[in-house]
Amino acid sequence: MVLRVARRGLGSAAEAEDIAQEVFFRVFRHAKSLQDPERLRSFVYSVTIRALQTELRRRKLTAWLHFEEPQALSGLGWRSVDMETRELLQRFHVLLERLAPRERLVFVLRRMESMTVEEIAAAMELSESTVKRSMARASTRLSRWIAADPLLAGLYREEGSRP
Amino acid sequence: MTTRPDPSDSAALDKLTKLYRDGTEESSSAEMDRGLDAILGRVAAGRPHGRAKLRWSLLAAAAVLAVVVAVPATSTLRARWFAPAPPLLAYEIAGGQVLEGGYLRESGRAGVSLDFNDGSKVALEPGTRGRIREVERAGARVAIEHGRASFQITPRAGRRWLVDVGPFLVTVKGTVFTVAWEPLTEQFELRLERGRVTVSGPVSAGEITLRAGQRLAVNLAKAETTITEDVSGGTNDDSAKARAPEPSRSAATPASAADDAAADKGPFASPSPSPGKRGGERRWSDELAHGQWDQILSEAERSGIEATLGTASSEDLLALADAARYRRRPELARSALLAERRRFPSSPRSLEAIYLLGRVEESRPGGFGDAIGWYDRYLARAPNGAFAGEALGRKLTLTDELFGPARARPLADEYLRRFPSGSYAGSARALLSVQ
Repeated sequence: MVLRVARRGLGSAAEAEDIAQEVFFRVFRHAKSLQDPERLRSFVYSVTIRALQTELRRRKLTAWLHFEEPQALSGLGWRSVDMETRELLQRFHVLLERLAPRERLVFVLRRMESMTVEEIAAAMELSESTVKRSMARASTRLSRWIAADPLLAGLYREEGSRP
Repeated sequence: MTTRPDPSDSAALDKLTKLYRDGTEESSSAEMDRGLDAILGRVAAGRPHGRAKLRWSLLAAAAVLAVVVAVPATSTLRARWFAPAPPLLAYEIAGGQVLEGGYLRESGRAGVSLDFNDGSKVALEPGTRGRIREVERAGARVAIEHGRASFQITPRAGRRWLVDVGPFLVTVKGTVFTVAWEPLTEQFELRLERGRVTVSGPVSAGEITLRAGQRLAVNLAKAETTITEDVSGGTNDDSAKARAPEPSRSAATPASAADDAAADKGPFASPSPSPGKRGGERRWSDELAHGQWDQILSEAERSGIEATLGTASSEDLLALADAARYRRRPELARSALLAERRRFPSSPRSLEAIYLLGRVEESRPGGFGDAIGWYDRYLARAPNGAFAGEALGRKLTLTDELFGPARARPLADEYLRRFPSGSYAGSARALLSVQ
């Protein structure tokens, strides 16, 4: 679960492994303080999300300091993805990289992890309305960027126009 | 003016999100074990002086962070404002032309080469299918969809080169290397002569960094990844001219003396002992999997080609045909495939043989028409077969080559309808976009 969320959140299998190690290291260190074993799953989730937030912010800062372009999708272990699909995913990943860390994480948790707004709000220590606003902003921006990308927009319009 | 999203953009967002979500593989047990070992190691190491160590670590980290942030920030600011931007990257093409969508078309039979103005060179071997995806100030991205290509990249700060090889992505750090991808057998190979590259894609260990002199071989069908020290070095040896990469042994094993010895024999030599004959039966599929093509061919010749074609098992006949194809002996490959069809007409390999006969005919001068005939037969017999996409894609390419785009467009349309994400979809779209 941790690796999957980290992979989807970061777009890199190698970085996701680092995050997962960090998460479990923290979980082990703080396991004693966990009084209700029922809450282990949500505890692990919240540690994962905090680690991801930190990593995404660090990336943004590094990219800003180095004037770097968004990171390339560096391998998520796509087993059966052909070159065309890979290009689409690469372009989509670049768009995800452009989102603010909070928006991106909210989007990934909501749309890829299917978490509820309440769960996201609890895990990220945000109000539900902030989560909803972040989600709406992320979706609007992504849709706008997709529309501006000739390959992404063109391909899906073409598909959508078919009977 | 800003672009307004419309409903189709939301649909695109939904589809892309689903694609991204579904594309993420679950972790393998090896990854889990590796991660668990690392965590247990850290926990064990951190136990004795945990708190004091943590405090010192935090102080040290803060100091390092200050340096890390300050130094690159000042240097990049300086570089950004005072250093000239790298010149625009441009290239000259020889031996072919660039089609719509960046696809490279070979004009002769000597391969296509690209000479970039920064001194970088890319050479596609004859028959290799490649594409220039991007060329810009920040770098270039080239895709190899089938075959073999050599790269000699001149390193330059702020410039990045990416090479897509089948489902793999090679990130180049300034280097000389050769890549090969055989989509039919799902085999990837990279031989790094100089410099450093990282490879990502469907490999068991995630991203792999290679150093000079190493060779990475991946057999996706068998889920095998091997890194060996390529002591044969260079790209000028005979074996490097072979067309397809070979599968290799264990998963992500460290290079061993046996591997080195095998590498001495050439990039497609087996790192493990030959299985040869077992219990008096031929097992050419094993030898084929270990790259021992010459051994298969010489065994067949020792037994007599006619006798072999009349007595070999169905599996061995296909292995013989593959060995002959890889060693560019189309006559023998054709004979083996026809024997397969004649002797085992109802076996599934007989269907595969029809498709492979098309590939054999393609490699023969003037054989495109016959190749199309075989692909038609395959598509008629197995419209949803394992090679249907490849057969239709090859037919599309050859029809365009032989009869021009007007005849090829209906095939492009059919291809996109049936295989919208297939490996020929880019060519098909390019063909349809030029009316």
